[in-house]
Amino acid sequence: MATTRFLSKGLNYLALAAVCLFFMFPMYWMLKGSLETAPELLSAHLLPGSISSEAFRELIGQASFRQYFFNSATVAIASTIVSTTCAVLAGYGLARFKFPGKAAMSRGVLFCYMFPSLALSIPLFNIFYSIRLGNTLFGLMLTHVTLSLPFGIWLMWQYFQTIPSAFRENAALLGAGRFRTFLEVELPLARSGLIAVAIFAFALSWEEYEFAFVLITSEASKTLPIGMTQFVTRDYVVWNMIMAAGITMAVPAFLLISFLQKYLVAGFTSGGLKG
Amino acid sequence: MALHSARESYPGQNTPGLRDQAGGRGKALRSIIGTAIVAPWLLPALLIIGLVQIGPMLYAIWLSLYEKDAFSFTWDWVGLGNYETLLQSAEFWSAAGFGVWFAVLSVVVQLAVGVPVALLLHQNLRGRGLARGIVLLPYMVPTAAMALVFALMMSDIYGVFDHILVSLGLIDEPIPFLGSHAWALPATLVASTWKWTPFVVIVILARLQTIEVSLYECAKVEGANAFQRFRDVTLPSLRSTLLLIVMLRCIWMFNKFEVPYLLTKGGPGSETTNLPIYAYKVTFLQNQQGLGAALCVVMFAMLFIFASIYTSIVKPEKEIEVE
Amino acid sequence: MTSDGKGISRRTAMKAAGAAGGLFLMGKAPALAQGTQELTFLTGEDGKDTQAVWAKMFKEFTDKNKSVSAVVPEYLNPDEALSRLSILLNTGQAPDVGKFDDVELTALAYNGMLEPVTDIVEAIGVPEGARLRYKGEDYFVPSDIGIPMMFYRKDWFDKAGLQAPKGWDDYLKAAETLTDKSQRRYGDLLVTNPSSGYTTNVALNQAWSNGGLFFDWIDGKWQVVVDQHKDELTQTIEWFKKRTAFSPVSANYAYAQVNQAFAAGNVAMIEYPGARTLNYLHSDFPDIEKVTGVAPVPANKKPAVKLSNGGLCIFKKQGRDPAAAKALVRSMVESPLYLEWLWTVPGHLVPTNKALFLGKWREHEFFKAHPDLLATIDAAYPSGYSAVTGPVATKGPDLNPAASSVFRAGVYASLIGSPILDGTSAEQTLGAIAKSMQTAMDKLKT
Repeated sequence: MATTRFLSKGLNYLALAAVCLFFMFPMYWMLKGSLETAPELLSAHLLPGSISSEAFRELIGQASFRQYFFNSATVAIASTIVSTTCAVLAGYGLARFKFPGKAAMSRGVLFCYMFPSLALSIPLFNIFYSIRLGNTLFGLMLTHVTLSLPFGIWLMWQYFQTIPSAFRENAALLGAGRFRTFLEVELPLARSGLIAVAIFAFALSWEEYEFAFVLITSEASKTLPIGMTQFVTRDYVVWNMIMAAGITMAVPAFLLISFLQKYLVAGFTSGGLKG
Repeated sequence: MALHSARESYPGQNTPGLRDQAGGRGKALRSIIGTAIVAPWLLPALLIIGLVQIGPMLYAIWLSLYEKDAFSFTWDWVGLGNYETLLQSAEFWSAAGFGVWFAVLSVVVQLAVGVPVALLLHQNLRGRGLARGIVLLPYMVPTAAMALVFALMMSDIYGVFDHILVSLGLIDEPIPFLGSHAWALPATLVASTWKWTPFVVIVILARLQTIEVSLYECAKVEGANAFQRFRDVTLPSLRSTLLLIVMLRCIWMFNKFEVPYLLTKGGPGSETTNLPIYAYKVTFLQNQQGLGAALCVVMFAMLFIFASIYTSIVKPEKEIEVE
Repeated sequence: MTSDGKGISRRTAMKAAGAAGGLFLMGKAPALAQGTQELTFLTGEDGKDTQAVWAKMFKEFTDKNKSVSAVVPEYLNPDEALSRLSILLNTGQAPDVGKFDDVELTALAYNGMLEPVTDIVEAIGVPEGARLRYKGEDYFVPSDIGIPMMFYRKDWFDKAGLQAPKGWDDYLKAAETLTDKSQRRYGDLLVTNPSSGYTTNVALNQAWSNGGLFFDWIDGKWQVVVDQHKDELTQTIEWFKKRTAFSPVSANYAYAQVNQAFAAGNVAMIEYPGARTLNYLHSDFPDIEKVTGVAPVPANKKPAVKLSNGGLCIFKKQGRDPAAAKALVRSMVESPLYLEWLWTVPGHLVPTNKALFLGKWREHEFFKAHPDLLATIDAAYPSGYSAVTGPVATKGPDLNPAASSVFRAGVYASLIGSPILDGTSAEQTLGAIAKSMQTAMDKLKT
């Protein structure tokens, strides 16, 4: 019994190592490329030929890069907040209230993902310019919200369904109003869902390219994925710069996930009702 | 009384008088009240979606009825002419065929990798937090950078995979992963698995948290082994999430542009050209905007039909209400 | 009765969202000082050095012209710049000034998007050969010409006792000798990507060099002449097919990957239209630069090279006087910094002005290190063709919008792509090409 348990533990760790290798290798290749010279990079050796942080220093030294980074962070954080808020509200509304057309709406929400972004780009540019949202981070943020919102609504809907109504009824018995019950009892219980939606919303906005390319024409409002393409010219790719930019984008995102994923762990067991 | 009130109701609505009325008037009143009460919860989401997606899509439908060069202001009315051109073009059908095939295959692979990885990361293993971070990392790397790295690694001229295989003597000539008929699709699949499996992992992982531990304990007490516990407890709880993921990922992978485009440019030939790449070529390289818009509308229609059939079979909203 | 406090603070989050929203709306509205205007500038020139010289030129211009407060450029890579242009034009937000190649400029001129600039072209004395007119008017001010050339590994050629190939037969022989796939070394690099401009340029060079033409100016108008040149074009297709044996099969490339393959030291010859490659090697791969030779693109019957004529254009805008934009365009080609601009990519940005071409332009250091570069340019220049007018020496008097349209749609590239990737016969391929060209011709508004 003890040996099988030991064996299965061992297998689990082996599998974990394999999974990490698969997901890490391209990241390693990116990091390696960001530290090397161009000829070393194209020679495809497994270990880096030389190590120099020049690409990172040059990147961070560029005022435009810092601006892109700031813009990306602002848009990603704002759209995460807006998207998560809207998803929580709508998800709760769908889970807790009865109203006509609910089934149709549940499908309709997901149907939003079927619009090809290419079809949206030109008209969107037109609409945004006519309502003075062209070239603004606010307008870009709105488009990013639509990327994560439909799925976010669904996820929150599911989460609120998993919360037994007893919690709410208890709260109601104690005299709490609808909104307060939602905010103080049910929302904390749906926390892993909320975190999943937030990670999802952040990730989509952080790396979004198509809307940002179409809607933003001024240097001051460009985001990182767009700014990065200046290292991909027609005639060559400035490999160490693009790799350094990729790493620079991955690191804050990595820290954010590492921080948020702790909250994914909590479930009913720790989040229960107090009071 | 409040203890067994229905879950789709709110406390104030729970008066016996309203509930007991079987007549149509009561029903209508209830639905009006229901709509009025739910509206504020849904409104912010609906406004944003309407502005950014539904409005522009209507414009695209309108544009698809015209012939229009990108470098010209003239709109020539052609009615359904663009759709006719499209449905008669062999290139369209091959792109549609590849698009469907690519979407289905990549979703199968993403689930086959993602579900076990999520289960693994759910276990109480040391280093789990770090491993979770690593697995979710690809989701945060910009697709363009990621596609460039894969193109670099998979090149037969300066790529590391061929370098290793040739150095080890496993192959005599480098394999053109991105340029041969046999390898272009698998290569694109590997890259898209790396990039989008984390989505499957994070959603499943979050869902696993909501399964009550007591259910597993009950199963254990009744003598269920690990596989049985997975089959009888885990899988049923994941069912609704899995069904949702399948539909979403199919839609997303069908609409994917950057990864196949940046890796293979839709080639060799038009081997890995899916509908978005074809639409991009038509709109921006061949400058036929009306035709491009028609293509987008057809893509939307295809997804709409798929999703309608899918949702009428698996009824996701039922899944969600019957917990 | 509160939550356990570990979650995100909901109230704070909502407040932050609101504040962030307000901040964006107020902070980013474009402002314009009264009585002055901003000029926007769009281009697919993605070289940083070139952009830096332009920045100086813009500064020089706004210092002199008080009515223009700033020149606001947007620099994208060539593909993105065209997507951007198409979006801007369709939404009534055209840039004021643009810099593009003759193929795109032809489409823009034909569609009535551009202001005529004949006055500037005449005032600065552009030589006849460099002018491209549509219906008697000049629609862009030629600024530079790109000339294709071949790069090859001098060290490998010397070792094998080979000379730089001049004709198709020498080329194939050298490619065969230098190919060793087990070492990941290829004699040739034949690009098959149907949507890359590289493929189009190679196809055009080789078709012309074998005497094949697609369009010709006959009886006072452009006509499709693919049928009349069937033999020459069929030979060209057969030649491309033979080359696949010595090239990596995956060469579904664009310019950047071609350069990389050569820089990685795995390819013996690339027919690359332009000296940008050499500049790239110079900055990032000096070891490869040392062993790289420059030679004219190999030709079968007569030398023929596709020139990329770059030019500055002014977009039509409703209710706007183009005077300021015209002044900017003129200042750019007459600026003392003009030579510095051309020198940002020495050998690739060739001046249209003959005196400059034969004189001061040659004094750049880069040419001293690469004497074969200047020799190649001198040899190639008289055999230049334009994709939208034909041979420069005997060109038709009018730009050919149908040629521009099939060029942009990748029809020329199918000369290489179709037979090699899809296995279509030469006859089928040429039939399809002729049909696309005739369709484009028939569609033209008169």
